[in-house]
Amino acid sequence: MCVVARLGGQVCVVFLTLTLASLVAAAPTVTSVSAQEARAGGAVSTSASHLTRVMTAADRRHLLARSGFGVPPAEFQALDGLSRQAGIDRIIAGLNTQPTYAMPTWTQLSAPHYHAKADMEPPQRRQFDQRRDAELASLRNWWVTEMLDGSSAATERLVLMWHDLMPSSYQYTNRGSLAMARQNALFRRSHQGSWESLLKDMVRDAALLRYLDNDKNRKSAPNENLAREFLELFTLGVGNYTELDVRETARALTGHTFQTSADLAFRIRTGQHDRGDKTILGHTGPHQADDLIDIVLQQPAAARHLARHYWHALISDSPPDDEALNSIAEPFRDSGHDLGVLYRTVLESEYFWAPESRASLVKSPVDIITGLARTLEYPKRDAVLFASLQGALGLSFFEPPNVAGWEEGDAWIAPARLISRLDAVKELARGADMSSAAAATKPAGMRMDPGMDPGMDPGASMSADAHMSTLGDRDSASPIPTAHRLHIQIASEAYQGDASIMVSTQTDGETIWQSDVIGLSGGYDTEMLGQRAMRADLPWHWLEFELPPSIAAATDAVRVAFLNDAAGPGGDRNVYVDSVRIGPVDDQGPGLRSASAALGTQSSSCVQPEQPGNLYCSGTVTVPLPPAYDQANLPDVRASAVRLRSLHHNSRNDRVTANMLLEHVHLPGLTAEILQFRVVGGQRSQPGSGANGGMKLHMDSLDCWPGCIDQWPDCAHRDPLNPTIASIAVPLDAEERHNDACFSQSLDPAARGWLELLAQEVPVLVNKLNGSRVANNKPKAYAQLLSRMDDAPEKKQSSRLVVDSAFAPLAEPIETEDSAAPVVSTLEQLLEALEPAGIDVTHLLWPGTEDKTPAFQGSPEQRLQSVLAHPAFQLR
Amino acid sequence: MHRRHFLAALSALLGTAPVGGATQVSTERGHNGRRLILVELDGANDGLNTVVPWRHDTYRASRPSLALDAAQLISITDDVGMHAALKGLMPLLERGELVCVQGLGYPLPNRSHFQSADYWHTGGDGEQGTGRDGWVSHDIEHRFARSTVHGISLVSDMGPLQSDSGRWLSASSLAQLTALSIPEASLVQPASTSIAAIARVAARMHGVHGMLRNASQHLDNAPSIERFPGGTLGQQLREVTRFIASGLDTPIYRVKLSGFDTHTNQLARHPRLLNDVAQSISRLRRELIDMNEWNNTLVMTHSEFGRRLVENESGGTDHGTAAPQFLAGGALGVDTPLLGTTPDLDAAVDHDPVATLDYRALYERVLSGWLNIPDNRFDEFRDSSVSALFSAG
Repeated sequence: MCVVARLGGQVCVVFLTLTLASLVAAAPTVTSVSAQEARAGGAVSTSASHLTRVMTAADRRHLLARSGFGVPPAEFQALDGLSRQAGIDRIIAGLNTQPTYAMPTWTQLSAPHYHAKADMEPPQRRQFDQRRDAELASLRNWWVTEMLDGSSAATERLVLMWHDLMPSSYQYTNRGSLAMARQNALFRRSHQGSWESLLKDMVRDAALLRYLDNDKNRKSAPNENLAREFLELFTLGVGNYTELDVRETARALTGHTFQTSADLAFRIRTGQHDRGDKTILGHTGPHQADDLIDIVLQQPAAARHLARHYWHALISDSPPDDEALNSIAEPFRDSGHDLGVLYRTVLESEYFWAPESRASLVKSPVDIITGLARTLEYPKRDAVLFASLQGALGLSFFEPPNVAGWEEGDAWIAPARLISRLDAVKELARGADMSSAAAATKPAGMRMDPGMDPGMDPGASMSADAHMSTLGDRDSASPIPTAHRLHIQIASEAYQGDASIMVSTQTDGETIWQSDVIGLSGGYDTEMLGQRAMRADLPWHWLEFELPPSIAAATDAVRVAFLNDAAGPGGDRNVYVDSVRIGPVDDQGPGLRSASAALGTQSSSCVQPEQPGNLYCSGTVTVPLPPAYDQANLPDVRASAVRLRSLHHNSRNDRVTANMLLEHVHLPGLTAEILQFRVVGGQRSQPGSGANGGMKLHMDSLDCWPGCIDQWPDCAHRDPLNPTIASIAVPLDAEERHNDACFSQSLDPAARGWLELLAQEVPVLVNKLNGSRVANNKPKAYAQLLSRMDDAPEKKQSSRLVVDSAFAPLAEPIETEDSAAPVVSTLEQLLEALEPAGIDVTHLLWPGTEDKTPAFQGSPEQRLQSVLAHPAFQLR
Repeated sequence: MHRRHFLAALSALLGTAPVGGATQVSTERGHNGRRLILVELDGANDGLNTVVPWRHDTYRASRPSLALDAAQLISITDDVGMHAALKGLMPLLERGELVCVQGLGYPLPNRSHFQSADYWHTGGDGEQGTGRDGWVSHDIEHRFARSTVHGISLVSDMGPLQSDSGRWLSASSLAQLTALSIPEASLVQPASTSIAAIARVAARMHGVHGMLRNASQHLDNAPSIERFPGGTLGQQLREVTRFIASGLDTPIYRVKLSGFDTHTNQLARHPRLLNDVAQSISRLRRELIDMNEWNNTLVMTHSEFGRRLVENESGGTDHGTAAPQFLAGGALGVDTPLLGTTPDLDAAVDHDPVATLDYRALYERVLSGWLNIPDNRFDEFRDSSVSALFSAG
């Protein structure tokens, strides 16, 4: 149950090692041991009298459903016999700062090349976007899995609470999948730390800075978006600051941004930061972000503001009176804003346990879906389905509706949502065939829809190759020992039935292999869930096929045919293909090839043109695969791309500034994913300047990813606002360069070597930029830049640097996290297993109120459906 | 997450929802046939680049990169033009079916999206604070006491339709309401529990059940209507059109388009949004004309505030105060497209021009003149500058 978290390399706290089976076998012993452990873990506060009470069953349900999601039977049982204090201590001891399941692998790679998007042609841009979408989908699935089966549901509740409290959204961070993942990790490691540190980290967080436009907040024209929400929503609340404070706060945050070419690293842009005095809440000084936070946290309103948030998230929907609020805010403030103290104070508060607080919160979609799955030990740990359902009920992770987060309380049970919730839990409890990935890989029988376009009959067009088709038949008696695999990342929307597809591979336009007809079960049910909001909401998964190596090697394109389009007033059946991958079984080494469907060609019965890969009508998408990547004989001086990010010519002083960038660059002594530099200079008339008119190559320590110069020389310039950032300027003119003491004497020889080469290559690179977007948009400035290069003797030299996009590494596949193994396989088994322990599942699903649970009648399944339909199930 | 409305127990839907079965369903129209469609421009529409005082020196000087000139505008008067992205509204403008009310705002303007939207939704202001219920909800409940459904929000939050009583629905499509229902097992008697919150949810379930049962005779026969242009707003207005075509006697609909918070890159973003507004309303009009319902329909936009006169350096605008809003319909009864007074751009307070008309004067006129509710809660805001509206009707 507990997996070593890859991120920290640290063994996670195994808190709930109980599976249901062990619970039944050894419940009494395990429980008492756990209780002792919890007590040994140490209660840090003196118990108020109510905390010494042994928890009733209702207390236990209340504590679990409030601190986590649902009431898992094993956890419910583990709290048996404990006092409220011991129960709280146990929850708190279980909190962790690392996930139980490692975040998807792509989150540990460097940031996508957002800077390159402006240069891309539309299909490449779509490919870039779709990859981000797939990443976000995998991140959502990971988080659902963590909530379902991670070791601490209370941790996930806190992380979700912070995501709601200081929200950022994927869409409004320019598809910031990685930034959103890092923000999640930040909340995860901070929820028991100091509020001050969390706020100071958050004003450096790429997702938040982008979401609230602070990357555009400049001294010359401040952008107030982050400043206003920081005061209004994040720290003080309306009425505790003035409009002047908003404007002055914006000034304190000017220039606070992040660098896309340096893995989204935080930096203050010195030229854009307002270093003048600001008066914030009566305090005057040359404030920066940290000063702002120090000033804000001196306000008593701050602790009260956050205490109110915790109150509404954990205690009650009705607002606290002053006495109640102060009883939580004051210990928090006295602790120096220790979030751990705040959390413990809330759980230990009499208000938390008061009868008026029981069943007073409307369940969020996560409580409804994931909470139900946890309580029922739901056999299908289907993260994709659960994420879709939660999204349809109004809560899509990483996509809050606005900067105030999700509207909670009664908004969750607005009429239409109420009906959808009732329907979703009914379907879940029925255990209807809603699993996605597992079933989808199995070939299904022919299930042609009457609405199918007869012209799309796959059999007709592929009959000539029918003899090949059995090669890939997964049902064939003898599996192919050295098979290669074809993977297709795919999703579907269902409407009155699942979508059916057929897959084939081609060489020179001839079909050489084809699959059976495959029914894509687990599609996003458009009739039940309504129209999906965005592409990342789709239930993406990989279809896998085995191919003989000869077929795999010969394949130069993969085709997916959508066979049975259907649509009506209530929904639409569609198929989405993201990417295809073909290669050896271990997915390693040469021969692995992949391509995005966005680069494919589509032919369908739709009248409206579609983006390749989005099959809204019956038809096919054919995705060409690149030749296998040849790693032998690579040039030793190479880059996968040269880009011009920005270009400026100042006519007053005749100065040209060109911001250039190389990707996946190999120079003697340097291998870097990103190497950014600025070519700056001008005033050709300036006496004493060399042939290049004093042009220099500027770069600093954030220009290179993962890093270029280990030891910056003392002569390097240090940025006053970012003391860790060093920069140097290297003359482009060879003679000037050799006369430059910093370059030729202080710089370490390795760096000098590749900088020398780079400086020589600059004129060639500038010429290569002809036709780039930025050069086209600024023809005059580009002409200026070119003319500076005309004087360079290096231009006549032959270039050593080879630039070819083939040098870019193949994109790693985005894995769909495997969900944890089911603990119990069916509802009947669950009920049987619970019986000896005296637990009635309908009671577990009832909120933590002390009143008597209605006696539901009928078969176990009928009783289950009755409690799920009961109004009380909407509350916790 | 801000606006939690903890409702008093048992006060919710049960008390007012029809419980008697089919006899409660009104077969005649429950009201005078008129309806109101509220279109929220969420995020704060930039009024100054929507209805544009393009000749004004201060306008042009304040917006060096965002100022629009005559070529980018549809002329309304000599000095004022409408953003060309609204060209879809030209047929309405030409026939006197479109009116813009200028300079709307309220005392002590608040620049928080959520606070200011709450004011507009509930009829509040910076002095009085936020009201509890939507500005239309209670008057509608009284005036149209027999309506099967008082109002439908096509987005999940109720906004100006918020009410603890009455019969209000939210749904993203008509099909959603016909495909699903409240199961029998959910219809427990609220009195059977001593827990107030459970009783409240139970009452809500009864209320929704009753509404759906009564509405189903109409909804089950709703005709299908072709796709609308105009993105998500078009989609919502298409569903409104289906509700209207079904014969449901609902007097208020709410739709919403988000994305107007143009702090950055406004030149590209704003026209796309306005185009969606124009295309979808224009299509709504054509559909309703075909159904003979356009003369019964009033479309009104609202937005939490306008945007600052001076542009920021991100090619966008920050939060401001006063802004114009649009009314569209077949029976506006006025022959001028501009009502109210343009705010004085040279007399800014806190960097923003000052509102020239309290937005509740417009609410008052819509309630009294359009929905025939003369004794409404906004009486004190009655203003002659909008009294011409609906006077011919």
